[in-house]
This record gives sequence, structure tokens and C-alpha cells, in this order.
Amino acid sequence: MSMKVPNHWLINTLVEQEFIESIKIADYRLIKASLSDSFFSCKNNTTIINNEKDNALIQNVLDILELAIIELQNKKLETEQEKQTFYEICQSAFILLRALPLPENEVDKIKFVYKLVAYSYLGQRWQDGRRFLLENSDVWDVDSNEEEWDLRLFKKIYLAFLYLVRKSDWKDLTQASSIITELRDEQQKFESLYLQKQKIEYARSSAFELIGLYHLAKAIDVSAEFMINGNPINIREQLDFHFEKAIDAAEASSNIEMGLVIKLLQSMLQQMIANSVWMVTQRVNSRVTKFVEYITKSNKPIFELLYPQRRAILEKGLLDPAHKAIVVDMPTSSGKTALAEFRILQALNQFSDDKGWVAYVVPTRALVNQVTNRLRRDFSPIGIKVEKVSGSLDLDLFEENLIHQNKDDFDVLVTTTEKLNLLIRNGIEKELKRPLALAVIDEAHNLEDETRGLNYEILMANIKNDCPKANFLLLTPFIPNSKELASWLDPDSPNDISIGLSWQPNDRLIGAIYPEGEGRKWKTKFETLLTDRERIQIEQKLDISSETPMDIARSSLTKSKLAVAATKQLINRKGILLICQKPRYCWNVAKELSVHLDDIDLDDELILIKKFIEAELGEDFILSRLLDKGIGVHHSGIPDEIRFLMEQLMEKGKLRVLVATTTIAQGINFPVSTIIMASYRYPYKKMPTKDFWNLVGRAGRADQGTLGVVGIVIGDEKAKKEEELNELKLYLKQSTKDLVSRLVEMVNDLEKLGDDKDLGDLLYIDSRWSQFLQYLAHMYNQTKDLDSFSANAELFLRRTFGFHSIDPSKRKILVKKVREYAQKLDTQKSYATLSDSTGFSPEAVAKTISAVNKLKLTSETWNKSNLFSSNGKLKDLMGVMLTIPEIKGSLEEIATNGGTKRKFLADIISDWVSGKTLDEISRKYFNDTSEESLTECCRAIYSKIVNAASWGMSSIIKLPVTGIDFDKLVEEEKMQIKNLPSMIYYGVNSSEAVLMRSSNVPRSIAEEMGQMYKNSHDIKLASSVSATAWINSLKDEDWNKISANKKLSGVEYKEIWKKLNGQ
Amino acid sequence: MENTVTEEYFKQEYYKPLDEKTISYWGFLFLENKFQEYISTRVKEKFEDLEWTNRLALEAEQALKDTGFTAENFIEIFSNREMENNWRIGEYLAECVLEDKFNAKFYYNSSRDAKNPKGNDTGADLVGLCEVEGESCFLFGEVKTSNDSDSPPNVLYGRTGMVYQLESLRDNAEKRDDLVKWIWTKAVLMSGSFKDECTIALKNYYQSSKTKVKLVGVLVRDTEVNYRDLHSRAKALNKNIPGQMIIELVGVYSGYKMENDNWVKALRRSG
Repeated sequence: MSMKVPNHWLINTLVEQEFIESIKIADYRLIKASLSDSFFSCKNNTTIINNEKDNALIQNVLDILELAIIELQNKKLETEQEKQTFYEICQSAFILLRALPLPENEVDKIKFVYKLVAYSYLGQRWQDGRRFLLENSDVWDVDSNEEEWDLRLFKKIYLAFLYLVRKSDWKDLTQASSIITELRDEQQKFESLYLQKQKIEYARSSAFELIGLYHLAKAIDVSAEFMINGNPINIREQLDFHFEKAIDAAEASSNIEMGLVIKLLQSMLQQMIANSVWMVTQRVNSRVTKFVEYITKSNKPIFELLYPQRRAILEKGLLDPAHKAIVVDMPTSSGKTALAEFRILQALNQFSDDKGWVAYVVPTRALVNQVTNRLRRDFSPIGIKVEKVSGSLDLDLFEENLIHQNKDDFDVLVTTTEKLNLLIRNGIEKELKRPLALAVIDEAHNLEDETRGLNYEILMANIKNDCPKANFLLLTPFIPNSKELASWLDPDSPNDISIGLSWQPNDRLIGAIYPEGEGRKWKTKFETLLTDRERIQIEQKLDISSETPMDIARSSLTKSKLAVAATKQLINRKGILLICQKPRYCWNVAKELSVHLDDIDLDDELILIKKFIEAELGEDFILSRLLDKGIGVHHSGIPDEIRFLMEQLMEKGKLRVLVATTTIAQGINFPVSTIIMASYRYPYKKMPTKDFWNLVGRAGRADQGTLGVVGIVIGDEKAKKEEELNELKLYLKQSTKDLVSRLVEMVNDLEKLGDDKDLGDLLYIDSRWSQFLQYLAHMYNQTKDLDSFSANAELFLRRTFGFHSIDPSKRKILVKKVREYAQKLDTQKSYATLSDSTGFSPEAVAKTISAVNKLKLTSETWNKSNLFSSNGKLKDLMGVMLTIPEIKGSLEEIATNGGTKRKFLADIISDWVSGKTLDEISRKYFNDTSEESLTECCRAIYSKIVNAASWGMSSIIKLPVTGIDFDKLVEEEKMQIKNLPSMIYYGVNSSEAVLMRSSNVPRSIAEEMGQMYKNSHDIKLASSVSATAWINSLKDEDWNKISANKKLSGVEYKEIWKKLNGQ
Repeated sequence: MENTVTEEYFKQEYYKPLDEKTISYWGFLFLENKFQEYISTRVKEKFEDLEWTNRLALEAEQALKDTGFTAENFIEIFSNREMENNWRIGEYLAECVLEDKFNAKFYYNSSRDAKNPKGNDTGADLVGLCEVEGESCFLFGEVKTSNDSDSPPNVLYGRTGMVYQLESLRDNAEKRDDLVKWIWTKAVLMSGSFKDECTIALKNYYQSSKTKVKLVGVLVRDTEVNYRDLHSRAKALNKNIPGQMIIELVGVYSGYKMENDNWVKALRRSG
């Protein structure tokens, strides 16, 4: 989205060259100003601003832009192209004006700010105009205590205007109105005196000037009122009335400049009204209205929609029920979540008679909590209930309760792709007797993900088939073929809402960071790079430091060390995200960084979190030390809860640096000021460009300074620097490719199948085929008979995204193979059925049944004290799991310290379930409690074991060969067996503890709390809803009882729990 | 109005073309009784535009009600609807002469029914278009009306004098820019030739580094024709003229005294 010259005859004829030059100057100044507190070469600012020649050039171009704006303001802009040109011109005017020095004379300053803010609005960048007010206190520095009425009026109206634009909360808006009210009172006091002083021939013009200002004042007043409560409904007409009177009056008073400024303000305020969230309510229903009322009054109120949000809702039919599938592709930080929330409310309304519900699908387990908290925060005030189900691949009993017994207990269910897939295939709609109204698929571009992409596709295919009423909302960063995606899901009236790359939430600077120099005398340089996606198109080399940042020879530098050096120098830019390739590198980098930074002041929250970390991971655990320096760490080797707390700290601005791996790209929902990438590769391949830009999009903190900075470290080895630089330049220039289904590539595997083999064998070539096979099994289960399946085979395939992109000849083969496969399924119907309930392919089901059968299990096996004992059958079960294609992959990755893998795994799981702490497990199984070992330990447990083993366990329990006779068991025993997988998932020993864990209770007190709950409740009927309500009602002494002998006090645990619960 | 027609009303009494010493200047004298005729027909048309501001004044009180501010103090100011006075007649006369004799064009709702005290620094009495070498250019003008017996009259001198105003326009591109923006704002509201001509004038203005404009100072008098009224000022203005700018002075002699409200009476006579 490079800055091109807007296509207007005035600009093309008169200032085409100067335009490009002036924008460059403006951007250059922006960079200097934004980086003056961190980059050395930007420190001396004053000479730049006072360069008269450059100022004249900029003013020249601005004059022409103003003329173009005057012309276009008057025209009714019909086509998209015309509107875009107008936005571009206004945006350019904003950028140029911002680059000029703020006038010192107050009247001139006021006119300057009016224009600047107006241009930002008309350029669809109101958030930048507002930010200017926040960042420059000089803007507010106006002495309004004038004796002369006209000046007094003029200045006070300006101040009211500033409050109206800032609207940090409703108080600002009422302040704007108060100022105007005050002026009405003051009119009596000041006006006649002023008029008497005027010469008789000037009396009329003075009167007209005042009249103009009164109408302007009213316009500001009524705008403020509207932004608060959406009234009056005819605000636009009222504004036009007053502005037209004001313009006439300015005309009659011969005050040319005033007339021009007022005309601009008219357009600007009309735009503000158009942006207002109240505009949404004019079209919709009570739920949405209530929501808007709530968000305008909340702690972080939203009064205005960003440009992409406005377009989506008001122009592109986001809330139009006619569209069954909507794909929204927008840059990160464009406010997609708010759009999802509006759409959710609309869907709930549309289906309220049927008690429809909404599924919100997130890419990772960790995000389930984050998103649930956010939705609860926004929705509970208006009575919408949000629940989550865990990322485990089964429903534990309490989740079953949530769904079956407390049928009306949720409106929105937050979950992962795999889990929802399971729920859909097992007939959740029928169970609930409530239709799925809307499936929100967040980060939908994951459809392309190598390992998990097919899950997305199959999930949506299943929803299309099994939930006929369901609408789709896909949220993704920019993809070129969003239309194709939407058409797949709704061929009749798809809607793709895309703003392409033409809008950004803020400006960004992307560059390469490398060292220059020799020996121990080297400096860090930042070389800005050109990309098509960023507006700023400047090539320059900046010095980050004036001296060598670290006492180390150039030849000893590594990318990690360079990243540390750069971070150290940029530390004034609060909120730095430092990306490393692997968890191990994160630790090294964080440790190295801590040597160079001072301690920070720790507040209560940080002290509490440190304590919690020490309780979970050991007192000496390095993360606690790192927090002393304001350094946080985030990667797959850190327990979920602690990662969550790191994210919260970062969002609140309490960390100076967060050192993370690239997996954070999908996890964070907040902007940072700076991103330094020690690597832009995943461990085994280059980062896909979509992921890269998704991450880069986070740079730029709305309240922290206008410019986001992204630096990619290269050139640690001198010889390779040029090569790496060129590689990076090419990488950045790569255009975004269409989103493509994995199926298209996977289908090539068909060639490897001999004629005598069936699709089931593909499982052993590539375990990703499991999802596909399960899909076929599910379709098979749903059709009446084999003939019916055969007839519809191609239809089933067409329901996937990838099918239509597959080569026609391969398609034929696939259809043929699918029909053959169905014949196989027909001979083993039970496997197909079990496939649906276990989430394994029929082949895996067959294999597992056979393997488990050999173990000759009985009911006794499944008693937890037997199962998890050292001579229990767990290791045999683990042995079985290590043969199941769907799960063995991750389990195999765990390195043992001698002995068989299955025993190793079984022992860890037993200890994990019995409540051993992570540092204990690390010491026993991963050598020691150093950060490397703890990382390995946590990754093994959180990334691999809890998913794979709990899934494996729950699937095995469903098989007929377990030796369990459910009819012969009492309730208690039944429940315990059914909850075994969750015990593994949560690392606890009892059903009640599982319940607590599903309600975000930390592991160390889950058992005790569970026990307390059990004493006063019937656990068979419980769900996380009832548990959470109960926990909320606990008194301090209850908390103290639970945490007796634990490392944190009761109150401290309560605080932690509230954080984890998003309170 | 073609030249032939204007010759019915006034004739050229003196003319000095541009040279190293002075800028161009003209003097025109109205023929016997023709001034009154001209005023009561041609100039009177312009006064109809003033109705607009009178209407505005009337409506002001009503319109203000909705703002919460009162119009009390304005009633008296606006009640004086007597727009007709000598200096206003002089201004409209100047416009007419420039239109009729010099092919100038003024196309807007008349807005300068009131002098803006602060606006003296920002405005000009006349803002329109003219032709220079066959191309449309902007025209900015100042008008002074004087029955002062001195030659040159006082109105040409001092900070509120015509020469100072013209010098400001000559030297200060920002002032010209504002006037350009203003007339452009008017032009975009109108389709047709006015906008087209303004467009051309705009291009000429900017492509000449904001110098290709015509500045005109019009002095309206009821005294004897005397080239000395303008000569020395024409010399004074002939300095520091930037780029392609043209500055001219025009003297218009009514041949009819303005005392005893003669002019106003002539205006009110039907044509």
C-alpha cells in the first residue's frame, strides 16, 4: 500500500513531483520525532523542523491538496474509486500538515489543529488525529480567559472541540457540552461590551462573526450529546442546518478563513457522526442497542468505529441476515473482535425463538481462556452468557452437564477446532435441541496451516452438513481470495468484506538491524526497507546507538546477542516484543538482556505473579528473576496459566520486554510498540508471509506513539550480511498468496497408493489424512446406505474447500477411491461409528481395538489408584497410544532419559496426576530444574502429553474392549472413569479437582478446593458455571483454609484466580 | 457590455502605460448626466445582491434560537438596513467599470456588505477573474471612494490606504492564497464556464509560483480629473513586482458631486 500520488487533476498538473518529495520529508520527520527517545540518529530534532525550504515545499503541496479537497467536498462521490481518492488526498493532507511545526500564536494554532483533525477524519484516520491530541500537550495549551468576547468565544469553542475529539470517556463529552453551556451564560456578560467597542461600519460584520461562532458552538454541543447517547436522531440534519448558517454568517462577515475552516469542520463532524457506534443501532435490534449502550459507558468506552469496522457494519452488510457466510479480511488491530461481537448479537437475535447458540472457534487451547474472558467482559453486562469447553478432545462430565442439563446456560461457546468438530459429529445440535446459529472462525487463514489446516476445512464442511441453519463468520488477516472462501460456504449470497491493504491502524517502520564496525568498536544500524504493504516508503540507514552497546567482539556476535543489544538501546520504547526461534533461545536472550537492564519497581501485581511462578515452577526459577527487570518470557515450554499472566502483564504495560517465540503471533490481542525479531524462521522452515504480517501488524501501540517499529536482525556474520539483507528484501516484497486448501497438495499422495490399497493406507503416509478419513466415516454414518453414499460421494467432497481446486483428473481418482473406501467401511460399520466418538480414523480405531484387546483389561484396571500405580496398566496403554497414527507423533518427540518410552510416559503421567509440581517432575525426569529442563518438561506435558494422552485415554475408554461394564458400576465409579482423561489433561487426581481446574483454579489448590465443593454440592450435577459461581462466593477464610500449607496465602490465590478468570 | 456601449457613458481622460517608472494607470470621466444613469441602472443591479445579507440578518434571530445564544444585541445593528452609501456605491461602480471596460468577471453572491475590521488584513474588496494574454487569471482589487480635495487623496495613503493594501497583496502570497481558496470555494458550487475559467486561473496562478494575477486599485472620485491623483502612487507601486504579476490603477471620475446624498438619490431613481 505504498503512497502513490492521488489521482486528481490539480495534483497531477501542478505538484506531482513535489507531492512525492513532500511526503518523504514528512515521513522523515515522523520517524525522527517518533524515534528521538531511542534512536541516536534521531535525537537532535530541532534543525529538521526549522528547515524553511522544506516547510515551504510542504505548504505548497498542502495548498493544492486543500483546493482539491474543496472541490471534492462539494461533489457527491459515487464510485468506490472516487471515495478512495478523496480519502487518499485527505490522508496526505493530514500527514503533511502534521509534519509542519505547531504555530505558536494561539489563533493560528487553533486553525492548524482544526484542519489537522478534520483531515484525519476525512482521510479515515481519525484515530491518528486523536492521537495527535493525546501526544502533544501544546495543543491544549490555550489561554481562554480572554476579555474580548470574540477571542474568548473562539478559544473556548476550540477547547470544547478538543474534548469532543478526545472522548476518553463520557466525561470528556459532557465537558465539551459544559463549556458551551458556560459560553451561553457568558454571552450576557461579555457580548454587548464587545459590540459597543466596534466601529459602526464594522458592527454588522462583527455581529455576523459571532453568529457564525454560535452556530459552530451548537454544532459541537449537539455532536457531543449524540456521541453519548445517540440522540437526537436527526443529528445530521441539525448539523447541516447549523453549519450552513455558520458558513453564511462567515461569508457575510467577510472572514474568508473562518468560512473555509467551518466548511471543513462540517464535513468532519458529519464523518464523526457516521463513525459513531450509535449508527449501528439505527438498523438493528434490541440486543445490539443494549450492547452499544454498554460499550459507550464501559471503562474503556468505544464511541466511534474505525474505518474498517464502519465499512463492514454500515456499508458491507455485516449484520445483514441474508448472508450466510461472511469472510472479513482486515489487518490485525482493526477491531475484528468488535465486529464478531456485533455479528454474534445479530445471530442470537435472529434465532432467538429457536434459542440458537453461537460457537466461537479459536486456533489454540490457550486462546480459549483469553477469548472467553474478553467476550464475558463485553457480554455479561447485557445478559449474554459465554462458556468455554476445554481444549481437550473429549467432553468431561462437567462439560457434558453444561451441554445436556443446563441447556439454556450458554449463548456463546468458545472452543477449539478439533473440539467443535467432535461435538458437531456427535450430534450436539440434537442433544441441545438448539440450533447452531453462527460459527465464528477466528484466524481462519489457519485453513492453510500445514498440520492443522485440514481440521478447519473439515469442521466447516461438517457444520455445513450437520447444522443447516448455521451462519459463518470467518475472521482473517489479509488474503486475496476472500471471495472464493465466502462462496465456498455460501454459494448463493456470499459476502466478503475486505479493505485490502489500503488502510492501516497506524504507521509502521520496518527495517533490518545489523552491526557495522570491527573488533570491539561496532554500532547497531537500522536500515529501513521498502515493502508494498506499508505506507512509509523511505530508504535510510539510522544509527540506533552512538556507541558500542555491548562489550563483545563483532566476530562473536550472534543474532540473539544482536537482538539483545538492539532491545537494550530501544528500552525507552515501552512494550517491546522480542521474537526468537525456539524456547531455548528465548531463555538465553532473556538472561543476557537482564544483565544489561536495571531493576524496575515492582508493584503488588508483579510481586504476586512472581510468587505464583515460584510456587508452580520452583523458587529459583529464572522467570521470577527476569520479572525483576521487567522481562517476561512466553513460549510453549511455559505452563498455560503463566503464559496467560505474561500476556496480561504485557497488555497492561507492566513489562518492558516480552521474549517470545513466533507462536505468540496467534495469541496476542494487544499491540506492542516495537517488535524485534531475532529470527523470522520457524524451527524447520521460513515463516509463511501471512504469519509474518500478522505478527508485524501488532507493532504500534495506540497510546504510545504513532510509529510502530519492526526490526529484523541479520548480519551477525559479516560475510553473510549482504546475502541476508537481499533475502530479507525479497521476502518482504513477496505478495500475499491466495489461501489454499491443504487437500490440494495432499491429494498428490494418491499416486503413492497402489491399486490394491485404499484410502486408509494414506494414514501411514501422512497422518493428516486422519481428518479426511473421519470426515468420510461421518458422512457414511449419516447416509442411509452404501448406495446413497456412493451417489453422493462427489457432493461430500465438494463440500470441502479444496476439492474444486484439485486437478480434474485427480478429482476423478479421489472420488473413485472414496467410493471404494465406503465399501470398506460398510464391512466394519462399528469402526465408522466409533470414529465419530473418538476422533480417530476408522483404521486407528481398528488397530487400537486390536492392541487393547491383547492387554486383557478388566474393570479393576480402570480404578485410578491402580491405573496410576507403578505396576498399573498405564504403561501398556501408553504403548498402545504410541502406535496410533493420530497421536503418536507428539508422544514420540518426548525424549526419555533411558528406559522404554511407554514406561517413561506412564510414570510422568502418574506423577502429574498425583499432584507433583512441575519442578519435581523436571528434576525426576528431565535431569534438573534449570530453565532448559523445565522448558522441556513443560513442553512435554502441556504441548504433548496432556493433549495426546488425554485424547488417547478418552478414545480407548469408548472402545468395547476395555473390560469396563458400565452397567455394573455405581455412579461414583462411572464418573471417575469418565473423568480419567480430564485428570490427565488437568494434572489432578479427582473429579472434583477436574471441575475446579475447568474453572481456572490453579493446580496446586485444585484438590482442596474440589473437596470443599464436594462437601456441599452434588458433584454429579455440577458444571463450570455452578463451580465458578460458588468460587466467586467464597470468603477469605475459605480461601485460607484451602491454601493452608501452600506457598501462597488464601487471598493471594484468590487474586490469581480472578486474574486467570479475566476479572 | 462592449466597449462601444461604455463609450456612451464614460471616456478615457488619461492613460499611462507600464514602463520602468510607473505601472499602468487610467482615468475615466463620466459624460454629462451619464453617471446618474449608469448608477441607476447598471450599478443598481449589484445592490440586489445585498438583499441576501439583509435576509440573513432577519433570519439570524430565529436561527439563533436553536443555539441557545440570544440575538438581543444584534437587533439594533441589523435594523439599520441602509446599505446604500457612498463607499458602497463606489465599490459596485468599480466592479461595473472593470467588468464593462476591462472584461473582468465577478460571479459570486455579494458578500462584502460589511467591512471586516480584522478582515482588512485578510480580504480584498474585489475578487474575480480577468484575461491576461488571452488566458483567465485571478483579479484582486481594492476600491477607495473619496471626495477629498487633495490630489492624491488621503485614502491612498497610510495603513488603511489603498496603496498599502495593494502592496500587501503584492508581497504576501498567503493573502492571495486565501483569496484564491475563497473564490475556488465559490467556483466549485457552480458548473459551467465560471468553474472552467477559475480552473485555468488556478493553473496560471500556481504554475507561475503564485504570481500570475492582476491587482487593481480603483479610485472613485467626484472631483476634477487629474492624473496626479494616481501618478505618484503608480510610481510607488512599481517596485518588487514578483514574477508575472500585473498591477494597475484606475481612476473613475463621476462628474457628479456626492454631497447631499446625491449619489444615493441617483441610485434610487428608477432607471
